[in-house]
Amino acid sequence: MTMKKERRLSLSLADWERLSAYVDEALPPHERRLVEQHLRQDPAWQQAHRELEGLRAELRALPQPQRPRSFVLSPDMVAASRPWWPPRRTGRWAWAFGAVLAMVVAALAVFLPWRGSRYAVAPLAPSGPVEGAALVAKEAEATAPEPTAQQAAPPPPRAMALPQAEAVAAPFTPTPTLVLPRATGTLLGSATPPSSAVSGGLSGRSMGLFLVVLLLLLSLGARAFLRRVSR
Amino acid sequence: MTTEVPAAWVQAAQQGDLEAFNRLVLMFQDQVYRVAYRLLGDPDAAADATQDAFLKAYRALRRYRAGSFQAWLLRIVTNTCYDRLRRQRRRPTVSLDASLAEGGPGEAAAWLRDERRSQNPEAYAEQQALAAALEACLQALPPDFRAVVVLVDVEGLDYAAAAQALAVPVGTVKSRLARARRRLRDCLHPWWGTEAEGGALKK
Repeated sequence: MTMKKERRLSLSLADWERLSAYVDEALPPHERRLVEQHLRQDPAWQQAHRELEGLRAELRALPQPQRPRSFVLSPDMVAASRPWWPPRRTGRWAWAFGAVLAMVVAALAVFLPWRGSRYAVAPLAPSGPVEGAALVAKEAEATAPEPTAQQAAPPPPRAMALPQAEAVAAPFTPTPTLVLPRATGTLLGSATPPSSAVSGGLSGRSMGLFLVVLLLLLSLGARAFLRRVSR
Repeated sequence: MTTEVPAAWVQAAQQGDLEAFNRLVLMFQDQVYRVAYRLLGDPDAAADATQDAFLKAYRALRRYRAGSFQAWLLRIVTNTCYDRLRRQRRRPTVSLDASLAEGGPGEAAAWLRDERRSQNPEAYAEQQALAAALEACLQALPPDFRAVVVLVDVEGLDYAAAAQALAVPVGTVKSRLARARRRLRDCLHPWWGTEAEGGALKK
């Protein structure tokens, strides 16, 4: 019976919120006066007020748990934990930063040599027969203009150029069967750029664009990284 | 109740002085543990979270700038507890079984402070039953609501400090607290009904 009565006396949520702030003395003066007016006249407000005060008293009187031990940090605990740098939250950014850096380095390593000399990769190749292959690549290049010149023609010229170059390479290589795959690899490496980078202007421009985008990414990453650290 | 901290201690701790940091630990470990216990509802998990929070605080000390050190610390604890609760929710059966096996809040009450027992055994029993009901209702609240009740009503922080500790605006503290209190009232309603005349409502 009493419960039914109490239900009916319930305040709206907005009023309850106001009253809740009132018991915490967190209301501005004018609202405070309004609430006090309600409390003088309205049984629903009076009941809600009793409930709130009772609840607060109960919560404050809850038995307090005793901490089971001391949580003082020992030098070992601090040493065993991760070092101050890098802080855990910046770890992700550090990885991103490293990844972008690695991309830039990789891009420079791959693209820069082609600027100076088209075959600058050759000295990097192991030795002996492959050097021969580099020569062969030059030969292939000499024959290559034929297909590249017909780039507009329907069948993709690169696909045609490769078997052709391989065919040329075969007679020149001292130990054909064993070395051929590697030589072909070098050829592939050196034969690919002419098709895409035959006109040096275009390749330079696209590479520049690529680098600019990379640098942009890099600076963005670095900024976010630094902001995180300084926060 | 907000506790002020000597700025020199914090500065020394920020420079890596472990002694100075441990003075702060001694100052706050009771409260930090209490908050963790209320949020997690389990003494072992609370102890782990407390230790974890102090280690995190030590590492993050350089990022503490200004404002209440206590609120900053409580924020680390509540976040640590939220993380644990989230992990628990992902595999709820384990923690639930564990807490049931240990007897839950009932067993925890055995080692709670009980200075009132000797004075009036009957009233003590009644009070304990109400406290147990309240604990159960508190644990039934969503973590966000529970945290604000724990900080303001149990620990006595004001709205501003609670807002700082929870990283929400003061208005959010105000409305969350009101809603949480309403839920608690509804949860305790049957209980209050039986002793409405003499119990919590007698005031």
